[in-house]
Amino acid sequence: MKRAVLALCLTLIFLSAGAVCFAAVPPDFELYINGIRAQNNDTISSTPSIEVRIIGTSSLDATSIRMAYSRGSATTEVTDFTKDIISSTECRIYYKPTSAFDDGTYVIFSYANNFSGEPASFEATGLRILGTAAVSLQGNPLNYPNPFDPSSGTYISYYLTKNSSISINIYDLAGDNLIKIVRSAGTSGGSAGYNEVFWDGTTGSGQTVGNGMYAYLIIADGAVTGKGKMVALKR
Amino acid sequence: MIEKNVCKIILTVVFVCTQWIIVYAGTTLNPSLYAFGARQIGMGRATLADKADPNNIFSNPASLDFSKNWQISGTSSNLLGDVHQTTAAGSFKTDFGTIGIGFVGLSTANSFPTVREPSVTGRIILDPSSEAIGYDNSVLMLSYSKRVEFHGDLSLGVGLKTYNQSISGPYSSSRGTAMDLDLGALYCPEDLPWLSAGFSYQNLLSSPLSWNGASSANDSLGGAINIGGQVHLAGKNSLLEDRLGEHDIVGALDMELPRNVLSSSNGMFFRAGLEWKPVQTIALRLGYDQSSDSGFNYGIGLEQSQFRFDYAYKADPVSANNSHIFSLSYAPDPEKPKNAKKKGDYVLKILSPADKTSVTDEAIKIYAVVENAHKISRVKINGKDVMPLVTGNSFEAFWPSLEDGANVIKVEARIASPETGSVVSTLNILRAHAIKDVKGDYFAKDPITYLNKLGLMKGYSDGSFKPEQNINRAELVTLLVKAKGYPIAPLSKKPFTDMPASNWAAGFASVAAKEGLVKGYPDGSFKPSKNVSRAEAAVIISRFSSASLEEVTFSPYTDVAADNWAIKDIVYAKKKGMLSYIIGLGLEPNKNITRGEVAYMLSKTPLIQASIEAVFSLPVSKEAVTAEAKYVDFVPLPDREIRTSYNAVIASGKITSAEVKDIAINGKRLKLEKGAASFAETIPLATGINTIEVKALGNGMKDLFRMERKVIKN
Repeated sequence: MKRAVLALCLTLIFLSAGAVCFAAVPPDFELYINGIRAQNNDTISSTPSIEVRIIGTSSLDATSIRMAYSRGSATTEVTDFTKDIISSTECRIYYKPTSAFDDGTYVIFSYANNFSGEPASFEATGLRILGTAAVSLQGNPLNYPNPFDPSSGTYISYYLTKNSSISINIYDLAGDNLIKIVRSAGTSGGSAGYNEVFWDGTTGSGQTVGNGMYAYLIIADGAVTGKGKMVALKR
Repeated sequence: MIEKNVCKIILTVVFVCTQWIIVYAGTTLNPSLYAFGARQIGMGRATLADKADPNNIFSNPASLDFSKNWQISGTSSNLLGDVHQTTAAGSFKTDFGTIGIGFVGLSTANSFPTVREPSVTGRIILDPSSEAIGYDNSVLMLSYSKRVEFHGDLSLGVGLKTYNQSISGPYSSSRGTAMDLDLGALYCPEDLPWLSAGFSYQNLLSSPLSWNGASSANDSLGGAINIGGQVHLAGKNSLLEDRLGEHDIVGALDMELPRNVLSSSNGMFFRAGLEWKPVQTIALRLGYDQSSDSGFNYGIGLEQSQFRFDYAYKADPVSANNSHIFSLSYAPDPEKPKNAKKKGDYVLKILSPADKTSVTDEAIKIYAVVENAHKISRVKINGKDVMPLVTGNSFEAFWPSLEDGANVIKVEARIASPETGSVVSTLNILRAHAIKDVKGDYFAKDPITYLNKLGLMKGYSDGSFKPEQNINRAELVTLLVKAKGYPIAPLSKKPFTDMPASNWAAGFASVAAKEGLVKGYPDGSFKPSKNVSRAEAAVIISRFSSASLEEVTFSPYTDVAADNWAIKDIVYAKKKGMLSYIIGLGLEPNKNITRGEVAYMLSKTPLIQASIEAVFSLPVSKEAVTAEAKYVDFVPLPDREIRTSYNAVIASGKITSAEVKDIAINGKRLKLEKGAASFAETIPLATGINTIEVKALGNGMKDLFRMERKVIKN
């Protein structure tokens, strides 16, 4: 009897351990809008290129992948996305709407499960589309690193409310424009949402700037939308 | 000598090499290249050749020496919304030059350190653990400038600058320092008072800004070579003088050649500016600065009670970079020293030679004194610096370049104490060929020389004048009639019983009697050979002068009674200085008068005085400035007067061209002596309209120059 109880206990422990060790893990999701990894409350373009990367630890059931978006109480199931199976454990789906989304706050959903039957879903909330209002920056532009080594350059980041033609004018503190970095609307640096533009620390004449503080203006569609100051410091 | 040159070459090579050896990590902002006042910015920063504004200390330290007194100025501006720049400048006059001090500083803060977001997005976010970074950049400059005489005013200046930059913040605290030199020059040519030209070389040493602390880099501050010019277009001492009334207009053009400065381009830039003062208290400015994106700048200035407020607006294509610049300046009038004199109290008096002295030598020694001055620093004669022998407020100077004929000599003395400034006096000297029997100390030397020069008393063919020889009635009336320019008509009958019509002086005696210069004797004779006495000469010459005689109750001479027949004329002659050569209390009225005495008396008459003045006259008409004749003037009609009651005028002038061989007046050649520079000819006037034509004749009697004037005799 005691043996039977012991065997039963061992079996339960084994099964429990097995459940812990071998239970299937649901896949992870990553959302990219226009090539930039998005997060909740981002502002996105009204014609976003949406990419969802689904990465599992076990084989994914590609047929289970679904996608939808909602605005207010209306939810729209997306059926015409394209699917790119990278491997048995990774799949990417792409969707670009044929017409621009209306302004508003959106939620993007995605769903997938693996062959172990472990379902998983993802939703990115608070995605705002401000396609019709004049372009503006959300928050202040920043640069990284700051201070930066002028021989290595720095990245200037900013959040655009819509796709816009961008000019980043960099000034010395006498007010002289040292260089102008231009990005077209919809391209990297000119897209709605988060943007980063690299400045290599040189002026229009190819000089490397020296130690000191420099100011920059973000000019979107011809209007100054943000400004910041950065410090060059050669270590 | 060779060693010195080798030394110079080595130093030059070392200097040039140092410019190449320095390896710069980068190029940093040099605020001294941008340190201007609102006035300068309003003029597009084209103020390199501007004079006396303290805000020019950074662009051209040489300009400060043109200031009249100490002055200060402060400028404030805000760039890009939150970079505050302050510029302060001042200049202080000393006995040995002008000291300038300038400061420009800018500061800003709130540059925030950042990190990458630790989450999967890796976005740039503020570093919550770090404080904001601040930045200061300043330059302090001391300058010295002094003017030297070089065909005008040439000011040279040097400026020593100390640079100081600091970055404050976590992990970034560092400080950069440097010293460098500026050179400047500003030139104002004497002959073109409306023009000035400037040059400056900023950061001559190309010293690096050396950092320590968080950074150990060496940064370039850059520099620039600038040249520029300024033209005073309208106003006092301007190109257009007062043709635009009270309007004062200044135009400027500068060129900058930057050298490794922090900029989007290191090419050559032009700057241009215009300042217009419709009234003295208001200035409107417009400038174009090719080195800035904005291009055009605008400005306004208000001046009142030695204060000046300036505002400039720099419009940038990017509105956030529009700049408003404000300056406030104070430039008090020069303080009068305790023993200062009123304007006009400093008078340059030429003690010798006397004005209108005649000389024969090419050189003269001038002895002069500046009344009320303590010290004289410099003497110029006819615009040229001379080496004077100065003793306090007096000096002796040689002028070695007298021309034949009339010389107008401008003597200028610069006062060094108790105030600074210049005083000018003019001296007229006639240089003539020596007359062999008229010595330098002869009392009538100058009158004889002038009358000789005017062609009235030419002397004898042997080159003598015979000044001590008596003069008879015929000779005297001939002289006077010629001087008056009365026409001599042929006589058909003898005018006096003792004078046949064929007598050489009959025509002159007849005209003289007709015009009231002389009267014949009751027996109808003239007594042409009778020597003239001093009393008779006084009477005849007072008539010649058309004198208004006054009643006389007291005789000035012991040997002339108050009821003497000639007393009125004698008193008149004495009053006019005609008898000043007589020493003592007696006139000796019956003594025969000499030729020298007559020359002396005549030189004091209004007509001859005017004629002598005319010899030194400055040009009064446009004809006067032609190349052929310096001037042609008419006496006593110096201006454009065309109506006169005079019987004659004297046309006089000065020839300055070697091409002129002779002068013809109304077709009559004067037959000038070789090399004669001045001429004078009496021209009789007929009642009504008289046309007077003066021609300068060249080789082959070719007309080189012609002027004509109509004179109406009432």
